[in-house]
Amino acid sequence: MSAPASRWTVGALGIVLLLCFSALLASVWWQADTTAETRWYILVNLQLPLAITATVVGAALCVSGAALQVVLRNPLADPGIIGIASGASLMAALVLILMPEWMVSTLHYSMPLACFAGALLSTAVIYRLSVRLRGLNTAVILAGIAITTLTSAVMGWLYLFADAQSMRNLTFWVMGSLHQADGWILLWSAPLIAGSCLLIISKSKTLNYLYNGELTARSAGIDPAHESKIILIACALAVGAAVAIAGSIAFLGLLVPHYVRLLMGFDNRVVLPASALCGGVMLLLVALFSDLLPYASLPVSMVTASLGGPLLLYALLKGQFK
Amino acid sequence: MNLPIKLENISLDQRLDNISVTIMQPGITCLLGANGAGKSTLLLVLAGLLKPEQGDVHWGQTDVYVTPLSVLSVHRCFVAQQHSIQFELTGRECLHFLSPCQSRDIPGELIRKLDIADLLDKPVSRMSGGEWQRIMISRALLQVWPAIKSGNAIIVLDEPLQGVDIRHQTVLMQWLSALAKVGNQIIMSCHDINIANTFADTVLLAKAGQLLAYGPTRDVLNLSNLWLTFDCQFECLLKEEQRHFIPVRHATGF
Repeated sequence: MSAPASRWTVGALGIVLLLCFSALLASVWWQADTTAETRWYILVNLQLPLAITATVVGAALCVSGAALQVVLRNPLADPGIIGIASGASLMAALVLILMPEWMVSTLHYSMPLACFAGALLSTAVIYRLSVRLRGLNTAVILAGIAITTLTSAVMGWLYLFADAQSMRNLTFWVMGSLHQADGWILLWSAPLIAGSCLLIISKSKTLNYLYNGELTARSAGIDPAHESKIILIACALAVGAAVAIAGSIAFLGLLVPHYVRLLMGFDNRVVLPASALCGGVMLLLVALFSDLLPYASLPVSMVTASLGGPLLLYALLKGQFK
Repeated sequence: MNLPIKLENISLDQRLDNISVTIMQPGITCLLGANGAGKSTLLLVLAGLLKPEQGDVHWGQTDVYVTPLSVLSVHRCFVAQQHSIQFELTGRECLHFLSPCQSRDIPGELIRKLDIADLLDKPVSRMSGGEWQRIMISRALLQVWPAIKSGNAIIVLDEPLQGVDIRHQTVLMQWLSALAKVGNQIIMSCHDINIANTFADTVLLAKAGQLLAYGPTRDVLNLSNLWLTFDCQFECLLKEEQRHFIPVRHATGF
């Protein structure tokens, strides 16, 4: 895709995102039997946080996925698959279950910190492994499977000892939900995600060098180890904040960048902003779809996995992943 | 000017053992040696991409390992021996994205000399080894294209002819010779002694991490040096004053 065409496509995606965002806010007016005052209350306290959560979480997961795939030189890398989101979820679950009652009031502060710590820790493990097992393309995925398995095992034990309320909270972390974030959490996490995403997008030229590995990048004049660390920390911050507000959401970070590359080419100066916008649009659509259902709000991961699983199988069957 | 290229007492991890050499003149310098002789490591050190444990590398007045990579990369390009890419980039995307000049037009001269017109829109996975190698050489040369045009580039190539067919090898080497004549410094490793004999101005012979000999091709490439370097006997045929080295078939093998 030529540069002007790419710019137009990114612009068009931005407009689609704004339309979806507006549609989600406007959906309040579709609800019958509510007064104007109630609608206003729902708009400000429920729909606006929901729309912001969907946008920033979608952007965080997809930009991180796109960047991780290049830095770890693995097209299958995704914050969920390689265990970054699992690490964050595990720490969140540990805080939820093990926190003494007198500290519950600090949950607003401790939860995001725990998510960051979990995300950073698993990112560090993945990075060390990818450096040590350089050239082994599957090593990162295997390490991710190991971390995810370990996380699932610990979560299983936590379920065993958790009370009813804690079990409901744990389910939120496992299945993901866009409805849990309140204004306060969004107030710090949305700017943090936006900042991390912008930092990653500002490194898109560097990420282009990294397509062919460290040596080519070094000979082209950048320090790949230093740049990779900055990008990985930004990814861990974005994913940690996303997990803190929406729990663990599967597949989005793998599939959106993959299909963006199929449609728009490999220039990360296009791929990263387009992935951010597409991720936001995807989660806004999930939220909109969930709002239209009369029964209950859908767990996001259930929807993304239902869409993502078949799409991943299709991509594998078509040989789109080497 | 980036000359002379001076390596002083270079040692690294038992792969390089106290190597000192000064390349004074612009031209093609060919590095020859058996497998594991330290050729690739020496080229990486010389290119400023692998810091030695001991010793200094200077390009003219520039102390290579205290100068930022971004400054070095304006004049120096490097083609690695092995490349692997996990994504389905096309030749054009490789040329544009893997170099600092991500919006620079690809010069017609580069396209013609490396015969890559048909490869620009071909995905990497469908390229042969030789085609991929030509794309990677093009990428490197595109990186320092302004320096090449002003005769001020250092082009370091680790086995650039690997997988490349004989016609493209000859065209490439003739073009590199022409680039060397306008002042560019080309340092390359290869396994073809006759290519070195035909195109190189100077030859470096390496064995077990040490430098055996360095000097003008005609002086350094002789039967005794080749025996010392490769533990393999050659005979030299003279045809129209041009020497050709042919390995002697060993009756009992090695």
